[in-house]
Amino acid sequence: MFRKPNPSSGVPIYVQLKEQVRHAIETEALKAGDQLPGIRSLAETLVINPNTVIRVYRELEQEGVLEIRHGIGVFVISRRRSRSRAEEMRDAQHLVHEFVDTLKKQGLAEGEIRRLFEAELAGEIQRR
Amino acid sequence: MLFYKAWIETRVRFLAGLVAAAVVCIFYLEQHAWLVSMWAADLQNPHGYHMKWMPLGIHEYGWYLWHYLYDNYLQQVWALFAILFAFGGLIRERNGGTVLFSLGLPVSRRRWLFTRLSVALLESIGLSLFAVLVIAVGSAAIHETFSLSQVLLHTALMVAAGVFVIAFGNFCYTLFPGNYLSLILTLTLLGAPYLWLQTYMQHMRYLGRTPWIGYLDFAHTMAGPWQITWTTTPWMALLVAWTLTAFLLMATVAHGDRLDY
Amino acid sequence: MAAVIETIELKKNYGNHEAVRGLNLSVNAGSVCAFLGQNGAGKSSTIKMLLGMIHPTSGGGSIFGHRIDEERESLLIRQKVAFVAEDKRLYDYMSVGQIIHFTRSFFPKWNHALETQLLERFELPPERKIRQLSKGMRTKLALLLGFARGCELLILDEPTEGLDPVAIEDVLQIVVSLAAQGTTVFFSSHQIAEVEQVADHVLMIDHGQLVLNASMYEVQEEYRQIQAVFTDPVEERDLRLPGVERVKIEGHIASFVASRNVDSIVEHVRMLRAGNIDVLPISLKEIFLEKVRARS
Repeated sequence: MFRKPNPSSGVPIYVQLKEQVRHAIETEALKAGDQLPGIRSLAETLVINPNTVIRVYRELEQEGVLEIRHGIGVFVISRRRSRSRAEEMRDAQHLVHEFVDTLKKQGLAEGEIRRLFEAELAGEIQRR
Repeated sequence: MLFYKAWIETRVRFLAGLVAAAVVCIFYLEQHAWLVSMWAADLQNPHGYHMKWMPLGIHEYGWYLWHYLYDNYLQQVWALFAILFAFGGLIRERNGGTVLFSLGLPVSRRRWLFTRLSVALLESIGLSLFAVLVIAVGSAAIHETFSLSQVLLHTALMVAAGVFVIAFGNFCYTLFPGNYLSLILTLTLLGAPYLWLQTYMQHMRYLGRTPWIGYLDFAHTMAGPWQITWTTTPWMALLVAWTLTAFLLMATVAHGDRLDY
Repeated sequence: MAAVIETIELKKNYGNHEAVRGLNLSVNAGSVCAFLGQNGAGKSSTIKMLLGMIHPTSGGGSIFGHRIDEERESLLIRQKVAFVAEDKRLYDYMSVGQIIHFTRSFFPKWNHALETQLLERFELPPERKIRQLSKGMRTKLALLLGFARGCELLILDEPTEGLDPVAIEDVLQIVVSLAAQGTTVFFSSHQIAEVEQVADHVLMIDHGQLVLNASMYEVQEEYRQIQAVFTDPVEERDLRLPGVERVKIEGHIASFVASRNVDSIVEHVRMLRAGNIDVLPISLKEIFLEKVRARS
C-alpha cells in the first residue's frame, strides 16, 4: 500500500509518508478504524528510519487523522466525521478560488500569490 | 581459531621445510659409508689428511650425525625455516588489506603475536622431530645404530636455543615487513655476526680460552657437545639465549602496541 | 538517552598534518548516526581511533563507558562492537563458510538466524574461496560478518561502497531492521540520499573538525535556506546573527542558510527593509555542500 519515499526528491521523507497516509485514507484504501502497519514493519518495508515512522504517526495523531492505542497499534480514527473528506476538499477549493480572485483584483500576479502561499506553509511547518 | 589461521598461513612453508630437512638428512646418511671409507684411507695413508676428529668420525656414528647435521647443515636448514615460520602476522596483513578486519576482532595485538609465535615454534619443533624420524629410518636403511636419546637431546637443545632465532626473525619482520626484504635483512643481521663469532670462538677455543662473548655464539649453543650429558649441557649459554629472547619479545610487543594501522 | 560513543577533544596528527582536530562527538543509544565528510576529512582516522587501531595524539573517548585509548578496555569495546572497515578484504585463502566459522568463534551472541538469512539473501556459496569472490560479494560477506555478530553497536565505514542498487537497498533494510531492535548504528558515507533515508542523526566532519551535529529532525525542521530581496543594498555584516551560516550577497539579494532561530532572523531581515523573503526547507546535500564549501 505504501510506496518507498524518494530521499532525493527535495521533499522530506516524513512529509512524503504523511501524504501517502492521508491519500490512503482519502481514497479509502484505509478505512475508518483500520489498523496501520507496525512501526518496525513499516520502517523495514520502506527502508526508512523507525523514528521517521514514529514521527509521522504522532503528527497525524495530533492532526486528528490517526489514533495511537498504546500496546495495541495505530489506527485510522474511527470517530464519525460530520462531513466526508471529499466534501471538505470541495469546500476548501471554493474558499481558495474566492480568495485567489480577491488577491488578483488587488493587483497581485499569480507568481506572487503562489510564493505567498508557499512562504505561509513553510512558516506553518516552522511554527509547529 | 587463531592457531588454525596461523597454521594455514604457514603450512606451505612448513611442508617445504620438511622436504628440505629430509633432503639434508638423507644426503648425509647416504654419504656416510663413502666418507668413512675415505677417512679410513686417509688415516692409513701417511701423506693424506690427518684431522683430530677422523677416528671419531670413523668409529662413532653418533659423532657423524652430530657433526654434519646438528652442528652444521640441519641446524642451518632448521634456523632458516624457523625464521620463515616467524614471518607474518598483523604487519603482513596490512599489506594484504585485512588488518582492519583482524584488529576489529576482540583479540589483543599481543594475542595475535603470541599465537603466531607459538605456531612458528610448534612448526619448528615439528620440523626437528621429522628430522629425527628421517634419521631413524635412514640409519636403519644404512644399517647403523644410533642413540635415539642423544639425537632427541640434540633436537631439544637446538630448539631450546633456537627460540632466539624465531624471536629475532619475527622482530625483524615487524620492523621491515615484506617477505624477501626481511629475510635478507634477518639473514644478514644474524648471519654476519654468527659467522664472525663462530670463527672467532673456534680460534679462541683452539687457544683454550672461553671469553664471555662465547655465550652469544648461538650456533655453538644450539649444537652443544656431541655427547650431551647433564653437565656438558651449555646451561649458561641457554640462559643467555632465553634472556635475549625475552628482551626481543618485549621489544616486539612494545613496538606492536605503538603501531598505527 | 545514554551516549554510546563519546569523544573529548580527540586529536590526531600525522607528522605536521592535523587529520583530526579536537573532535567532540557523541552518539546516543539506539540512534542511526551518519558520519559525513569528504575524502581525507578525518572520518576513517576517527573511526580507527575509536577502535584502537590508531592511537590519538591527544584527547580521548569512550564506547559503552570503556576508554578507547587503553589496550585492555579497547578489547572490551571490540567484544561489543561490530566493525566493518572501508577496505572489505578478507582472508582470501579461507572459504565463505570458514571465515564465518572463524568470526563466529569470537562472538557468543552470534545471530545464527541472521547469518542463514543473509547467506541466502546475498547468495554467498559457503564452499567458495574468498579469493574467488567478486568485489561485490566480498563486500556483502564482510557486512554479513558484521551484522551477524549480535552486537549492540555497529560501526560501518562506507558500508554500501561498490554495491549495486539492489544490494544497497538490502543493506539499508538490514540496518533499519537492526536499528528497530535497538542496535546503535554509526556509519560513515558519501551517499547523502542513503543518509537521509535511514539516519536519524547526522555528524559532518570537514578538515578534521565537526561542522554539523544535529538530528535529522533538526535538519528538517530548523534548517532553512532564506533568500531576501532588499530595496537598498545590504552588507554581509548586517546579517551576522546567531544561526546564520555563510551569507552570499549579489547586489540587492542576500541568500544564506539558517540553522536555528529562523523566526528572529526573519524578523531582523524584515527590519532591514527586505521586500521579499523566501524561507524554504533545505536538503541535507545542500547543507553539506554549504558547510564544506564555506571552509575551503
